Amino acid sequence: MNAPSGETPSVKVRAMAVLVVVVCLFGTLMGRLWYLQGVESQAPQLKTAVGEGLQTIYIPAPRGEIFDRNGVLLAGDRIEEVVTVNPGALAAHPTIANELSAVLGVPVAQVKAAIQNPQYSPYQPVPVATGVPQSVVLAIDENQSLLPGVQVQAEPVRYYPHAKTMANIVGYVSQITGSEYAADKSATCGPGVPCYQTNSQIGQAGVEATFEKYLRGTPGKEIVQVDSQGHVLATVKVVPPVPGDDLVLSVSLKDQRAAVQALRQGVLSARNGPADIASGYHYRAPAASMVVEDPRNGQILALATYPDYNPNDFLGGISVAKWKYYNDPANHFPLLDRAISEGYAPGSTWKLITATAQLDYGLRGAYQVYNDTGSFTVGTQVFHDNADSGFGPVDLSEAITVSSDAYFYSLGYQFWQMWAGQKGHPEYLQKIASEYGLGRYSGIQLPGEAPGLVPSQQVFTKEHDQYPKAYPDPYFYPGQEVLEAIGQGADLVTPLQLADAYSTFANGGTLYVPQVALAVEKPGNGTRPSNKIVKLFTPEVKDRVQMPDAANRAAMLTGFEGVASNVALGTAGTAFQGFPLSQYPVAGKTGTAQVGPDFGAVGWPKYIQDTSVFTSFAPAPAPRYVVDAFFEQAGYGASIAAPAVRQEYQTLFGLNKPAKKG
Amino acid sequence: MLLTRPAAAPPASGPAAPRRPVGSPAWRHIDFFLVAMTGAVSVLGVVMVYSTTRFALATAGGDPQAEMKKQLIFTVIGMAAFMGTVFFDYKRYLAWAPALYAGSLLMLLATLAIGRRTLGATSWIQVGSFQFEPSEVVKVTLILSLAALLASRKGNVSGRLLLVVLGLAMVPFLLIFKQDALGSALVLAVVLVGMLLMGGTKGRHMVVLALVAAVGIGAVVQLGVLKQYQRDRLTTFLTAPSGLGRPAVNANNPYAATIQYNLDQSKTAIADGGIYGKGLFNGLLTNLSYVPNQSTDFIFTSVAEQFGFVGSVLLLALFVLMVWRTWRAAVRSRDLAGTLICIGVLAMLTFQVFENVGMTMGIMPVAGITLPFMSYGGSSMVVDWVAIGLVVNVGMRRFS
Repeated sequence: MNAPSGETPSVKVRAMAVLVVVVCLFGTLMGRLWYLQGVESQAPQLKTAVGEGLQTIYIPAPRGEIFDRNGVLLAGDRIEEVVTVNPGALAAHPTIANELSAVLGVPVAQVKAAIQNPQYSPYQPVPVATGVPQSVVLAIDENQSLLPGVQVQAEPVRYYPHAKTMANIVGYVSQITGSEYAADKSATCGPGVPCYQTNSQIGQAGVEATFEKYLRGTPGKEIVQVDSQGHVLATVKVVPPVPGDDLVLSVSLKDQRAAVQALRQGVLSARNGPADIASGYHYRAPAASMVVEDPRNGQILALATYPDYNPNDFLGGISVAKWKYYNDPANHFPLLDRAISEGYAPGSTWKLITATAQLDYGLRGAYQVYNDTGSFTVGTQVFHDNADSGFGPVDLSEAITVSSDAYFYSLGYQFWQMWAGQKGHPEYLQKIASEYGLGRYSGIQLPGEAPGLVPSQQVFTKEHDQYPKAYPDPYFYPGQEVLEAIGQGADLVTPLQLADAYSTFANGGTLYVPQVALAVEKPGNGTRPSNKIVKLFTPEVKDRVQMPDAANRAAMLTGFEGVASNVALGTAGTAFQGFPLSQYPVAGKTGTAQVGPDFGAVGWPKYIQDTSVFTSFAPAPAPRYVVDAFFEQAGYGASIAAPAVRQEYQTLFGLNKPAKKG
Repeated sequence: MLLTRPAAAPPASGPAAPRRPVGSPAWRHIDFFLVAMTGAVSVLGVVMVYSTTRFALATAGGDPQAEMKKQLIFTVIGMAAFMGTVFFDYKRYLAWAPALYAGSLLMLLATLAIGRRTLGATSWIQVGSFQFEPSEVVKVTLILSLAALLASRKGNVSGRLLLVVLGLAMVPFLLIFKQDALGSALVLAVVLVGMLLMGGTKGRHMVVLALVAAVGIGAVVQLGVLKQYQRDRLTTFLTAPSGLGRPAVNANNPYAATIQYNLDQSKTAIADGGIYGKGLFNGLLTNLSYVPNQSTDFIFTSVAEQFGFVGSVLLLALFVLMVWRTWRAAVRSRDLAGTLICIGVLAMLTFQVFENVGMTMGIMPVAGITLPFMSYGGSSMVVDWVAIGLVVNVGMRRFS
């Protein structure tokens, strides 16, 4: 390493050159480092890229419970053993599907399908079987080596202890459908917490659906770190779910159960009783419903419908067989809540409206006598009474008690003349009907309510304009109003609307929105309500009816009381024989509504038998209950509906001796 | 300065009196600073290996510390090899150079015959339960061989010697290239150039050499000696965006897409560190194993994410200091052979750090080169410690 020759630079120069190169290289590295960590660390792509490592899993909140007005549990959460499989376990250990199939006793394909359910987050265990017995739990625990990734977890599962009795009111929950999720996915239950995931449970019917926002609670969330393979590595943050609030209904389980029982017995007695005179066939009595309402505030105490369904069938997905059964016309559609969703011709029970209108507009005084000759003629058309002989001279209260059709036919014609004679004049009868709540939604907080129909020129014009083919003639003929005045023709009223109307009369003219829930309360201990009110539902006035003056109203009341108390003449006199009317005076009105053409015109089996209707309120001087009942194809209101209502009153007033029951 | 000290003259007879204190053994002159820094980087490497592998191992159901423990063992073995290297005067190694060289060539040949293919290269030999990489070993044996050869002519490199040297280097280069370990072959080339420059190669020879190299590279590219995926590895960094953001995936070339993905994850992890880093064990992308090959070739990204710009610069500074101490040992060496050994190691260290760190940041090709003392793996750890051992050996015997 001697003094360098002329050709080669000195070792020192070369060594210095090496140093310079080294410094340049490391300088380059540090410059680039600064660019990435000082400048690019602010880039938006970085946040996106880093965010890919965090995943949020939502924890469903325990659903609020539902109680009746006396604190009886109607819908609760039962802790059940749920078998879950970790995501990816099937791919890593394909044998677990076979092992699980053997343990659970279900086909392998079903196990695989459950594990691969796309509705679950890929970072969340997927449920494969719910409510498994203890033997399965033990089998899984003991065979963990054969079942990697399989766990048994205790999870809350909805159940309905009084399933069929309360089905139409309480409803049920089931897994959210695709279209519901599409509609609700942006709903938030807390800051940044969506209410629903693709596997969420959601109320599908009854108050489970209408009070969903109180019952569902707020889902919790768990933010986890996920590696590039999708394995959950660590939990970053856990926000526990907030349980849903409880719901206390106005409905009384005891009264509802009695109503359901009364409907069943009524249906059986209609089917097994005397044959229909018009057709000569036994009554079909396929369906019935009953409403019990407190006229003082619109609270619904019972809302029964027949046939009914079991909401527990829907938990965890309804089976195909059950779904077919519930939708087969031969079974008369048990999912339909006839108390609110079906419009019926109300028959003579409608006379409440005609009587009120007649007095309000001074068409005929309460004590003015009308001679019922057995029929009423408009032009060439003859409208017959039920009793062809006629009742002779009757005043209003007698006309109500005996249910004189001619008395009200004539009023219907007068109302039609008033309207037809003066263009644009209000349709009086229809106006009163609307004030009583007919022909419009009651506003009850249950899904699927029908509006009913109060025929008028306005309605006919509208129907014709909308559907000219279905309604070719827009004209509202006098005969149509004549029939309307006795609750026939095109009249359609839901059992709930009829109860509302009689509640309005019973309380002196206030139409309430029928109320199914009393309060939303903080979660209780699981078996009783907490009595910590979150939201109180107070009576809501929907409309007011101008009541006739006291004397006239008293005449109407006398007529309604006579229906039950006048054994000789009252249409329901027989039905209420032996009932302690002096102690609990019942005022009521029967209805026997024709449906469709006469038997002579269509014959069997096309002929549809009469609807048996009875509506009532009691105790008459200061009513606490309005009870009505509709029985499809069951004949006279007096023969089937009235006894069913009487039976309900026995429960309401506590008249059933323990030995007598059942 | 020792730079001017005539190597041929015995120290005692030179004009400058020996500064070595009488009776002071060679080990008193060990460069403990260099050893300490190397140790520090190795320990940091063990921690980084732990931070990059613990979650993946735990998820697979294994011991999260398994790879960290192995890396710790590799470090201990490396340190033992270092001590063994320091123990004998490097003159002996120069004397053994032909045998060492022949031995390492045999290992390379054996690799081709029985080697295992890992991460795109057939460069591993299984010995018991351990695998090792002869291509790593060759780096050191080549440095020793070249140093012995070049020093034997005392800085006067004739054309004939140059050809011998080139031939000597070309054999392992081609064997390693054949194994697909392109990165290791490049390290050999850089070491060769560095040692030729310091060894006194004439300027005109260097020019001719450069021309031949340029023509050779052109021919290699043009004649399709490189396979498509090899070209992809070398050129992807040129087409990738300079900042963050994934380029459009080329469906026709999934291999290039894989490299692009690796690069993008790597740059993202580095950028995620920012100025001060996320803190030890808090690096999200590191914890989630989002950077492929992070515990081996991309270990730098774990430092960058967890310790940020500040920590990364400190690590680079450690490497700079190690290179500086190596350079210092080179210029203070008692003879040309020692100088050349140190320069060889310097070239190897500098190039590996620059290429590896540059690769993770997208400014160098993805060439499969480890980050010395950091990347998970036993062969490179042991060989790198041996290299530092040679430097310390040269430095501590500068007076003998």
